[in-house]
Amino acid sequence: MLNRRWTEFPATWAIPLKELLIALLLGVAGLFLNTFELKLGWGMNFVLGNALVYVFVRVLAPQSLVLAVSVSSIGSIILWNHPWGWIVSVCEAVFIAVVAPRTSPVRSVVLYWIVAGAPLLFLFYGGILKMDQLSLALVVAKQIANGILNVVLGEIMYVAILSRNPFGKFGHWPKIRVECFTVMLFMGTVLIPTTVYMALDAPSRERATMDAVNRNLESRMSVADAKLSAWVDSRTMLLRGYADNSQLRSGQSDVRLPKAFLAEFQKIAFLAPNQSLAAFASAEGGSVIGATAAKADLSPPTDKRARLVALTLGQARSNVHFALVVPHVRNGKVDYIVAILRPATLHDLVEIPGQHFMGNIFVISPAQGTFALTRFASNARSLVNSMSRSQQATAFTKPVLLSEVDYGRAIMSDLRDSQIVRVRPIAALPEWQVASVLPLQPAVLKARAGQLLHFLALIAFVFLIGLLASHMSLKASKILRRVSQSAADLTQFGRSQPSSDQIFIEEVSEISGTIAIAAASFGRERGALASYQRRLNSIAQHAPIIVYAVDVANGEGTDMTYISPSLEKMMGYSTAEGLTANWWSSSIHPDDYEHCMAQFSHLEPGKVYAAEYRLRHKNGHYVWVYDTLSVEPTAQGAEQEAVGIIMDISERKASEDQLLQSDKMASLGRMISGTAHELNQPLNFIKLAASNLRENAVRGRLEAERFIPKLENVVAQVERASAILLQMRIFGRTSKEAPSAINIQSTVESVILMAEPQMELDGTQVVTEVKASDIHVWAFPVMLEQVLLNLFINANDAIRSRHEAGDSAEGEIKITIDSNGRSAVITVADNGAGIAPDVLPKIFEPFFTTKPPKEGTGLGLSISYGIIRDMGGMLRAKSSRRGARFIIELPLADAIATEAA
Amino acid sequence: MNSLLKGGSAQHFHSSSSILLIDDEYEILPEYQEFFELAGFRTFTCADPFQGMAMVLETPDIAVVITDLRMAHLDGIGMIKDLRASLPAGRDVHFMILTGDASSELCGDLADIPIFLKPADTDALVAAIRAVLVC
Repeated sequence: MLNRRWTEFPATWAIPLKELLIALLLGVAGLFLNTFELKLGWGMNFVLGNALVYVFVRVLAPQSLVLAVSVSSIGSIILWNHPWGWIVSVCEAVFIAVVAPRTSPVRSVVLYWIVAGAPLLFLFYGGILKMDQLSLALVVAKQIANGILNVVLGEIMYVAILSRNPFGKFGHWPKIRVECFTVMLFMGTVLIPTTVYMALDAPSRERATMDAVNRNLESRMSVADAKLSAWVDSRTMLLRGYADNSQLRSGQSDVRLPKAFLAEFQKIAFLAPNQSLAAFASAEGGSVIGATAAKADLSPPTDKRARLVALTLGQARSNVHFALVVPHVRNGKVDYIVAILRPATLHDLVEIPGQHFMGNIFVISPAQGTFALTRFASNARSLVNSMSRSQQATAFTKPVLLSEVDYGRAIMSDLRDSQIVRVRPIAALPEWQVASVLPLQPAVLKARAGQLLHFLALIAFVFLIGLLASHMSLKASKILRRVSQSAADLTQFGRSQPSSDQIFIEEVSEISGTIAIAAASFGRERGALASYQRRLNSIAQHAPIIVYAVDVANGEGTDMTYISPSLEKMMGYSTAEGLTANWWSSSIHPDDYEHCMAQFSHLEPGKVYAAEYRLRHKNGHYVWVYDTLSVEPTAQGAEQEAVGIIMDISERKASEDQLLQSDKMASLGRMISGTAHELNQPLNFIKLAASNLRENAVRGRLEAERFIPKLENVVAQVERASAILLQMRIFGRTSKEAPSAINIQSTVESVILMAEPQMELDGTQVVTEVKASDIHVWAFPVMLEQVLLNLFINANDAIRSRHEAGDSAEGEIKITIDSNGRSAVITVADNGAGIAPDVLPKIFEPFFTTKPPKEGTGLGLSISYGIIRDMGGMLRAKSSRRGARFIIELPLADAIATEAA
Repeated sequence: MNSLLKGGSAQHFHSSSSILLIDDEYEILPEYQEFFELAGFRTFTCADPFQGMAMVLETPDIAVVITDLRMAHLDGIGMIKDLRASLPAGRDVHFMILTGDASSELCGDLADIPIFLKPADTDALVAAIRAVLVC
């Protein structure tokens, strides 16, 4: 997994299986961590497991990252019963994997939530799940904060891992860039305390709200209980009193009630213990609610307490009536007073006039059911009805949340519809409990509104900080880079510099130390630098060289930024004149301009360029100079500077001219001895023919047919001699001719013609192969001829020395003319003795020769080399067992013309 | 060329003695032939040194061999050495060198062979041949 180097983010698309497995493991670990939620109150939780995956955003390949996140987020599907949250998380991972390498993980996650995350959430939760606006806004804000926090936490953990220095042990861990670090720091500073605060504060707020609700419920419940109990107790007493005075018998009922009862009871009946309440109810056209209650209600009472029984009267089953059943002892016999309550009796009892109560009061009997005592209880009743036994048991001691909507465990939105309930037994009615129910909506809405404000402020702050951090991180990294660069420069004077991209977060901690070291060495270096500079100045002033610096842009020199004062001594110009634009280019000799410009174009950092050319002295004459410059290696794209020196090489040029001449003389000598032999042949012929003619004439044999063929022979032989002499013309020429576009093939042919006599004497075959015909090079014809002649003679000498060594195989010199598009390539190959490997590197050195004294000055090849180089070309030598090969490359004339154009 | 051998037609200096001239420049051979015959020698000419060697061995009355030095297939010196080695005892052949190369020098047992430079000093050459044949 971790073997990539030198890129901060993995870029490859080929992922080893091992890495995928590790990503999967990470995802599972994240999934596990996601089960530990950070509760923010009212059903809102932060899950931070994905942070574990985002630790490895720099280490994992994009696909692995997405895989890990899609696994670790899978919990949300289970948790929320919908895949939308998961989809948004996976999209987030994809976005980060793609964008983070270009900026930073934190910046990319912020960007994601602006560009895609928030709109997707609005679409999914608002459009598809139809979440209400308040919850939707809250969910979006929460998800944004959660998402950004995960990445920030991942970054922080990564920095923590980096500080443990895992390099080497587990492959390559890219360092964090300063920008990433700064952004992460800012975001972490904002997000973490806020989240922690919310996590600490929100549940307690929620608890406080719940407590308030609970207190409200409790007081309601207590009041209801107290009222009901008091009412039941007092009415029991009153009913017993009434019964004592009543004339009614068991089984009779009284509808003409005393005034005191009229408001509360609609009917009072007396039932004997053997009579059933159900029979009574059915006689009244109704029934008792709850079978057990009906069966057991009139069994001999274990105590003398009154009971409350729910029954329906008439056909309407919804028309629930309560009856107060009071055991009564009359004349030593037990019977029961059944007092049927008016519908509103209990309701009026629990209603507190003038007080607005949002909740509802229920009375609950496990045997008979749940009955609302308040008017607006219809939606709450089903909830209270569906309360489980354990919920009910819990409700005795603390508030219980009742909700009909089930979004799994995410109670983000269903809280609003839920009711909160408390239950307590009614003191006077052991079978009955009173439940006080309050909708949670007002409290939740209030809390939600607060949370939303909180989150919106947080998100706004995060984005603001994100912008600010981005801006500051760019500045900071720029400054840090500069500082660390100069610190590094000072401490590692002269050593190669790491590229500025390699300045990482480590340097942030190291930088103070580095600066301290730098400060210490700075004084030392400054002293050294000063003396160095003094020496340089001295050299610049007194040495016969000119030092200059020139800015380089796009591979071309632009402005000369420095030129040493020695310019005046050498060229007559002041430095101010030297620094004026175009001074240099306008001072080059027109003949040298082309090749000089060609030499100094396409400047690349770290390379050295050189040219020899003539530069105009202020007095008007030209000075031969050697100019070499090297481009300082700097970061890509940055401004570059080239530093060069110009040397006066007039003397060397003059001596080179002399050497050229002396070598020419040596060649001439050898040519003459070869040519003399050749010239002797026609002379010999002529002499014999003339002598024979004379003898014949002396003897009087003057026939024309004898004379004419001889005279024709003589004429032919004279022509042969003059042709030989004509070929020697080039040695009379000077090298002051101007260069011109010359045809390679005809030059080669004319040189072959010159060298042929010598070759023929040695029995050497000369073969010419023309692969590219009609190519021209820009050259001095005589000089090129001399180079070629030199190579031919060398080749022939090599063949001769092979013959002398006893190998009599026929000598052959093969000349190939070819072109590689930019240059003409002339190859002179021989099958001579070859060049020994130890000699090969030295053959172009001046005065190096393998020939006996007097035969060569040893300057032939070095001068040939110089000539070819001066013409902008190259001369190379190769050797094998089959012989030596010399390769001349010369720029094509039309290529030069095109460049000049 | 059918026959390299050209019998002399003029009067002979020594009826029994002939001279052979070897030069690989074929065109000049008739002039040599004419020149030496005008000088009164029975003359053979030949452009190929190997063939020249065969002629010397086959023709006992060749007493003088005049040869060029640099020739395409066999160097004149090599030819002289070979001939000297293969001549039967009692056979006396005189060698002379006629060359255009001014730098030619002979050494060792060949040092006694006279060298004439082209263009040939005709009088000296004829005198030298006569001196050899008279002895």
